[in-house]
Amino acid sequence: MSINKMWKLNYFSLVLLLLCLSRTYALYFHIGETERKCFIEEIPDETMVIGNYKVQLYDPRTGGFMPSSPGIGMHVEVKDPEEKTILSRVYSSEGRFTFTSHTPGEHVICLYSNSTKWFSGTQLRVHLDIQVGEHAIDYANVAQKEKLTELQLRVRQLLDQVEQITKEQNYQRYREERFRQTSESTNQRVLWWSITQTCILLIMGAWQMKHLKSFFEAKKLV
Amino acid sequence: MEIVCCFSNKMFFFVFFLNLLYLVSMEKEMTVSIEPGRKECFFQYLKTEQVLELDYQVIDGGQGEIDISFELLSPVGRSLVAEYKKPDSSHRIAAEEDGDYQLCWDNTFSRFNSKTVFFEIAIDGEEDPWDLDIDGDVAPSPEDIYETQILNMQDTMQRVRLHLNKIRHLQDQQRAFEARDRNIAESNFTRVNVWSFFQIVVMGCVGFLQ
Repeated sequence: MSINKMWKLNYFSLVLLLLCLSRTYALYFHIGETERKCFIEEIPDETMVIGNYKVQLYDPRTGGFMPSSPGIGMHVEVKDPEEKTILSRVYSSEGRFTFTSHTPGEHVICLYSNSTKWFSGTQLRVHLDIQVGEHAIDYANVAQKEKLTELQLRVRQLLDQVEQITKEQNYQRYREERFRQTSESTNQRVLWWSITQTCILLIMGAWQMKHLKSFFEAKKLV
Repeated sequence: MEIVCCFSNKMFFFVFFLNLLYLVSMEKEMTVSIEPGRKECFFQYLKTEQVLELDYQVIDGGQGEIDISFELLSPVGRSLVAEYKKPDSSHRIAAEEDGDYQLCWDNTFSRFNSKTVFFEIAIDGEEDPWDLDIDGDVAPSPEDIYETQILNMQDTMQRVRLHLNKIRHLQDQQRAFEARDRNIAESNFTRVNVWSFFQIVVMGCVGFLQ
């Protein structure tokens, strides 16, 4: 068998497999045209997040959703844990957005259409798929660029996955420390406040008793 | 230039089909915030024979109201699962028909508290994006021993991959539990602060009046 035919067969199977992969269906939901939908992603730092989405407009003629609606744009806004906006762009009706986190924590991804209506217009169907960390890496690309054999690619995938798990565990440790600090601080405050409160009440009670006693003595009742 | 033997072609097809057999699960997780008095629905397409594994947790819910109602509807609208006010739950449903299954989280029973729900969906019978069939540049030497070793290694790696997927899944769950506990602790903290301050003010006033 010639080398050419071999490569053609490789290419064919790769395309076939990629077609099979593109069959994976994303989750979808409905929002109004003026509505805003937010998703929270808690991620460690230096993690890449890719979101694939597709927007379809409701077609009142058929009662369903049009397969593609090129007119709508989707505004994607990503806020980092400190409420700072790290991504705010308008994309077309179908596409993907990417961002990399620089601080660990809860990132908020908000989607809304760039419709200019004031009241709720038609319904939109949004297909969304958010991939975090090593799920976001395009291995076909990596294999091609670095010319990896299949075994090398597999090992690379496993390494990336383990690296992501390690990152998440480190982040988990940092979160738990913060959590412990909050709990200890609450505990301390509760303790001190109870003691202070008891002291104040005792002092006030003693003071009041003294005054009442002197009042009664003045009135010559005791 | 190496001469590519027809043997490697056979191995290539064998590996290709072997990859198709490794249909592991595809996992998706999302954290969504549901406002009071609202119901949020998500749709997922499933084919017959695919198994949907879903688990969700409420990780934030205002003043200790950490629960939400959940409903799973089949493509024709039949209710497969209906739960009322649960803090967390897990389900495994086999799809009996093709179509869009509806997952609805209902916060209509709450008047003021917005709930943050973390959910994870795993579909058995979907391809793992790991299955990318790329034949290498280096043509293997035509020996059966080599072929067996490669297949053994691939088998081991497949097992490692499954374990890592499990680790990832457990990690996500633990993260959700931790986030929920942290939110509870933080809301306790703010509550203690606010009410202590309020109490100081009240006591001061009363003392002054007296």
